Amino acid sequence: MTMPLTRLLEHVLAGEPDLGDEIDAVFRDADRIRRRRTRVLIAAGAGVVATLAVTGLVLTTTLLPSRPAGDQVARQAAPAGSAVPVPSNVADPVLAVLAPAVDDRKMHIYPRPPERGNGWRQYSVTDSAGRARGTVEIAVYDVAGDMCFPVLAHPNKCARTEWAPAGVEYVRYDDEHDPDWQVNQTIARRITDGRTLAVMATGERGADKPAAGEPGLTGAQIEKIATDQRLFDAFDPAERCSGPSSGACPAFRMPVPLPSS
Amino acid sequence: MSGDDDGLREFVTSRLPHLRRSAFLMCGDWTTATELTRATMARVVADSRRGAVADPDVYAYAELMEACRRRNRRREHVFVAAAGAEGVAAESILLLDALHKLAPRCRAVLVLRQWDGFEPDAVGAMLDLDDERVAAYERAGLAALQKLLTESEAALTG
Repeated sequence: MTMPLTRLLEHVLAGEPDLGDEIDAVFRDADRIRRRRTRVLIAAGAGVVATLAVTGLVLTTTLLPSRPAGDQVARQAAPAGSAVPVPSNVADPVLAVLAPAVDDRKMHIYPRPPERGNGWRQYSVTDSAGRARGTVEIAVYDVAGDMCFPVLAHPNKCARTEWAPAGVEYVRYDDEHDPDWQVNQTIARRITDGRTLAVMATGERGADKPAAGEPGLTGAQIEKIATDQRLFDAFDPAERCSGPSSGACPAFRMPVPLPSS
Repeated sequence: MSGDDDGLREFVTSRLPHLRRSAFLMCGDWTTATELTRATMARVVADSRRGAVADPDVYAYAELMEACRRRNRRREHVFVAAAGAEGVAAESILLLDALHKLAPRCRAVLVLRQWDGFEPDAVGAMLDLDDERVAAYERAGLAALQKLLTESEAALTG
């Protein structure tokens, strides 16, 4: 931008249509709102009366035998197929971001079946001797509004975020309390477009010693990976772990809170 | 502002044009901007008449930005020039396009700070953000906008 944004925006507004009778229209709409509110108030009063009548009816019929309720069959929605087919000769840009950190620790990382879906990837990590060192799971979401980063110990509070360059806010969730499920996780959100990443490294379960169950990547490494702009861009913009195929997304130690609507 | 109609009419007359321009920057379409602005101002008038509005400017811009956010939830955006408008400069279209690639909250901060000239605390009150987050959104938004514009200009000339 060679000139201030304000000046640029002035040019954008060229061709602004006339206001016409918008002022009068505002007042007509305001009157309409007032009338609608009055109607709603009357309807609410009628609703209260109807509720009282229904309650009376219910009370008078409580002595009648009730119809046995039919068995309810719990339906479990099968996760929709979400695999995103990619030719094997296309390099995995997510893996390209992860690999250097794993290589630094003289370990190996490779896709873990089912390795990918709409908005998520998962990988296995092994050490130089070929022993399993857990998994790395990554998912991307769209959170357009402000996000309340959860707090492990206080479900109803929001965590204070740290800031990474280029407007990425993040919170680390490292949890080694359970030696059988040691987790290093970071949730990072790019505030310019709301793209949100959850990156989690977990150690092997059932290891004989706690040290053997440590995740293949440290909390600091996961933080660095999760706040790396390249990782945000490694997913297709249309990918997100929400909607019909979200059942296949990884289960994170700390799930990303998504807006209900 | 009192709830009397003369005062309200004066307020609406003075604020409506600027509010509609802000709405256009948020949604990129004059028809939608006009519709959202009219609905917002109607609510300001209706609520002011019953004494429910403390600061009409904060109330109006907060309502407008929320209406734009709801309208843009699906992230679809098409720039629509006004009917009968002359040709729109390519730079303007690039700028609007770049602006609309930002998240609605980030775009709202840029519009309110850079175009409407509100102070960070007023923007915070309108968008329910603290000052630190307003500053973070503004910083990141300007940087992202600059990057998007540079890329678009390069694509246009290259």
